[in-house]
Order: sequence, then C-alpha cells, then structure tokens
Amino acid sequence: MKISTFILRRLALSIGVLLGLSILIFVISRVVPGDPVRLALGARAPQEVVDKISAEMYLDRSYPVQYVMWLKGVVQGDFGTSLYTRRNVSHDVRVYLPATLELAFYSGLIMAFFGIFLGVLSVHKKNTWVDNLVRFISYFGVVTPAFVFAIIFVLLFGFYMDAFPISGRLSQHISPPPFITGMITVDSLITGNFRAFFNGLTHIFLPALSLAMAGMSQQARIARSSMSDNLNKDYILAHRAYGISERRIMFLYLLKPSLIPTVSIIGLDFAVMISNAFLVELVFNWPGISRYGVNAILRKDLNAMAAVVMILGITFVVVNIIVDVVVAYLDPRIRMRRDRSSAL
Amino acid sequence: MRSDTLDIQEGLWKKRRENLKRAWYKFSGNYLSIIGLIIILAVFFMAIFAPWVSPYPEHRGAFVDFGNAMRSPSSEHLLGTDAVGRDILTRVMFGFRFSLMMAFVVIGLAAPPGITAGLVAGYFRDTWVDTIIMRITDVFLAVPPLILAMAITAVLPPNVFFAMLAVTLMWWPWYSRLVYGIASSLQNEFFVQAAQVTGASRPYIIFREILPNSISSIFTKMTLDVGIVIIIAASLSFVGLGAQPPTPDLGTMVSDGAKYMPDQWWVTVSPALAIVFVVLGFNLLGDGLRDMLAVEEV
Repeated sequence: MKISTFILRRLALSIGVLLGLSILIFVISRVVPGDPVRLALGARAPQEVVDKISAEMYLDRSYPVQYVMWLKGVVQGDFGTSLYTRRNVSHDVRVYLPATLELAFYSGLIMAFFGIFLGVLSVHKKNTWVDNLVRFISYFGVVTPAFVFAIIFVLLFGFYMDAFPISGRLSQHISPPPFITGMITVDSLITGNFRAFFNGLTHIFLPALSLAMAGMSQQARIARSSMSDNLNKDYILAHRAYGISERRIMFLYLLKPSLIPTVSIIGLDFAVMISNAFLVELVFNWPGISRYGVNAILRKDLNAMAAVVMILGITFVVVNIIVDVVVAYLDPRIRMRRDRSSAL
Repeated sequence: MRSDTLDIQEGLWKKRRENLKRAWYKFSGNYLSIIGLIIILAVFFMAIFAPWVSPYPEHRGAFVDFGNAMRSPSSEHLLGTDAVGRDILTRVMFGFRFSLMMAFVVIGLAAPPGITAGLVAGYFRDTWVDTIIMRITDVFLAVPPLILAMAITAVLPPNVFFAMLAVTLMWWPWYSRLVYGIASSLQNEFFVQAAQVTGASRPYIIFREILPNSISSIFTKMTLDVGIVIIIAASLSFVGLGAQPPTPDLGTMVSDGAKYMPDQWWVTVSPALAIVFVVLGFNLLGDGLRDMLAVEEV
C-alpha cells in the first residue's frame, strides 16, 4: 500500500469514529431523565430563561433533529451556550484549551526525553544497580495514579523544598503577556518578556512532571525491552566486531530501530495524559480545559461537557493518525500489513 | 474398553496436575510475583475482615471525635487521624472493600459481553458482523475511559453505584479488542476447521474451541485491569463524582485530606499510598501471570 492510500484510509476510518463518538456524546448529554436545562440552571431560574435556552438547543424537537442541529454547530465550531457561564462554549474553549495544550506539550517533552533517556541508561548499565533503580522507579510510575504524584510533588517540591510554585500559571506580581496563542511561555517569548517566560516555566514544571510520570515510565520500560531485544541481533555484533564504540552503537545503531515501539505507544500515552490532566489541573489549580470540564460536569453544564469530551476525542483521534503515519513511515512492515490494530 | 477410558481420564488428570505444578514452579521462581500475591492476599484479608481486624471499626462512617483530630501517626493510630478524629488505618481498610468491590463488579460485568463481542467478531472476520462490532468498539476506544465515565456520571446522581455503571459501560470494548485479535487469528487454525468439518455448531466452536484458547490472555488482562479500574474509581471519587462522604473511599479520602497539606500531610498521603499498594500488588501478580502463561498481547 502506498503511504498516501494508507493515510486516506486512516482518515476515512477516523471520520466514521468521530461521527460515532458524536452520537455517543449526544446520547449521554441529551437523554437525561428530566429537563437538562432545568437541571443545570436549578429550580429557581426564571421560566423565560429556561425556555430561551431550550429553544436554542431545539429541545422541543425530536432527538434526530436535535442531533443534526447540534452536529451542524459542532462542525462550525459552535457548541452552543454554556448553561452555567451563559457564554458561548467556544469562547470558553478558546480561553481554556491553550493552557492544557501548553501543559501537554511540556509534559510530552519530559516524557519523551526522560523516558527514552532512562531506557537507554537502563540498557547501557544492564543488571547493575542503575538498571534496577530505573526499573523500580518506572514500575512505580505505572502503578501510581497521577493525582498521587501531584500531591507528593506539591508536598516535596512545593512545601518542603519551596523550590517551585504549586498553583496557577504565573505569580501575582508578574503581569501576563498579551493573549496571542494563549500559551504563556510562547506569548511571553513572542513579546520578549523573559521574566514572564521563566516565571511561567517554573509554574508549569510540577504539573507537567506529574502528568508525565505515567507515560515516562511506560516509555522507559518499552525502550528498555525493545533495546534489549535488539541488543543480541547480528548487526549489533557486527558493529562490535568492527570495534565501534559501545556508546556509538547504543545511540546510533541500537536506539533508532528500537524507537518504533516507543513511538507507537505515544497514542496510548497521550490518552493517559489527557485523562490525567483532569486530576492534575485540579490539584495545581491550572486553568485548563480539563478543569473547565470537571466543573462543567459537577454543575451539570451539559453543553460545555459535550464540547470538552468532543474536543478531547478529536484531539485524541488526530494524535493517533499522526502516530500511525509516523510509525508507518518508520516501519514499512506496518504499511504492508492489512491489520485491524492500525484502524483504531 | 471401560478401563481404557478410565485410564485416559486418569492420565489427563495426572497431566493437568503436572502442568499446574510446572506453572507454580515457574510462577514462584519470580520473587516479584510472590510479593504481588502476598500484597493481594493481605489486602483481601483486610478488606474482608475489616470489621474485626481494623483498630477502630466504628470510625468507618460518620464518626466524630474532635479531641483526637489530626493526630500524627503513632502506635495508637498507625496512619494518624483525620480532621474529625477518625483513625485513618481503619478507614483505609474499609476503603479497600470499596476499591475491590468496584474492580470486581466492573470487570465481572464488562468482561462477558466484551469477550463475546470479540469472539463473534473474530470468528466472522471480514464479514459485516465483524465490521459492525469492531467499528462500535472503535468509537468507545476513541476517548479515554476516564473521560467518558466522567461524562456519564455527569448526568447521573454522584454515588458508588452509578460510578461503577459508568466505568463498566466504558470497559467492555477493551476486552473485545483483545479477544478479537486472538479469535481472528485462531479462526483459520486446523482444530477450528476440524470442528467445522465434523459439523459442530457455531456457538460450540466459538465458546468451546476458541474461547478456551484465549483464556490465559483474558485472565492476565483481568488481573492487570483490577489495578487500572481501582485507579479510575479512585480518580472519579477524587474529582467528586464517585463515592460521597462519609463512605470510606480511598480517592475521596485523598481529596479531602489534600486541604490539610502540608502540616497534616498524613491525612492525604496515607490513603494515597494505600492506593499505590493495592495497584502495585495486582500489577506484580499480572506481570507474573503474563510471564508464566507466556502471553504476548494484553
């Protein structure tokens, strides 16, 4: 299969998945016992307001009509009015999403860099105390929930060592950079405000680290096992026989083919990361889309909730397409195989 | 003739006993799996006998003793006491009950339909049955389970029962996908073709020929999933969508205790470490099973 055909097939499948997801979310958010608007606004809200929002959501029409109207809005980027803030949900998303994307970006950096670094270190010092320590840490990374890491980091680095701030995106005394992308470290760099940039970095470090722990451990374990598998292959033996240094073999010849499994689980890591963002943003008071989503859920703000789940679903599907294409590019065997596992 | 069949039966049992012995030998050779097994047995013991082995059984629910509030860990209260004077060790033991119950109910309810869907789709590979079932599971797998479970709990009253329901609804596709992979590769094997040729019914082939051959993968996944479901359940109640106070739930205890950091750190750290403890046990055991049964996927 040519790579373009592969991408096209992958895209077609994803559109089907997203349509299915929109039906699922619609069913969850509309087929509630009772009146969803009344549920969100509370018993004391005036009837006119309830009627107005109900009419906006086409609640007096049949479910298929409601779904089509809702989907039409979603495709145009309009998720309706938030039942709590009474603003357009898309407006809220524009404000809150960049904070989460920024967090996910730094978390991904930590995850990829340290995950692979620890994996290489583990193989390089195989069966020594370094290897055992790395394996021990990465085991705990997998079994510890993100909010437990968050709380332990807050205690250790925030309170006892007082090394990093534990709440928000910037200190009080720093004026935030203008809203360009919404990501503070990017906006402050664009405007040349280095004070805000470094302050933003210190704020993002602990939440990003808490978010990265699970994926980082997973990456370290996968990198270690795939490098160990390749370690005994003939081509490595041949390189050794030529007298190429161990370090060169490690980073140049062993790492590259061993990266395929670590790249292909990035999609899974990303899923773990956006779930965990819900918990980490709560602990660190991080004004991102996940905290917004949790609040929407707690306030029964169904429009906002549907928007958050839909946006995260779309992001997840897009990340998986990119990962699949990158893996297919790295590993021609996958392009050739007509396998279901590539069709997620 | 009769004694022959008896001999065959006898031989089969002997073989089974030998296989079990060999499996245990392989399993017990890995000290990490043994640690996992011990942790799990300890957790089960504490959960089942909590009313008798916990130091202050009356502290499990709405109990108030302000005179003893916020005591740091000591010989009297091994994990300290919380803001209203309840012994945290007691509440952790009762919390294990909820975690284990949640995990077993969710997996017990989600696995059978998930496995059945996967088997059927795998057996009818490349037909419309396969397409419909696997496209539906793709939709569920398109969003991380915690997020969809949260969305479902949003429209339901927040309590343990609905939290379990929500996670169950999200969990079956993972079994479908695992079993689908195995079933679709087995459906061309000779033993399946032999059964087809001898006129075995489709349900017989699916459940008596293919299912037994996927059981070791399913069993390993179930063990590993106990840990993951416990984490998801704790996460839901940490956010406030699961068990409500005064239910002794580990996630709720962590989020309540977080208010008292850093001075009364044990109120939040003790239940947090309890979660890590039980999940660690199930993961060690699951990894041990995976090595023992030589399961590749999962």
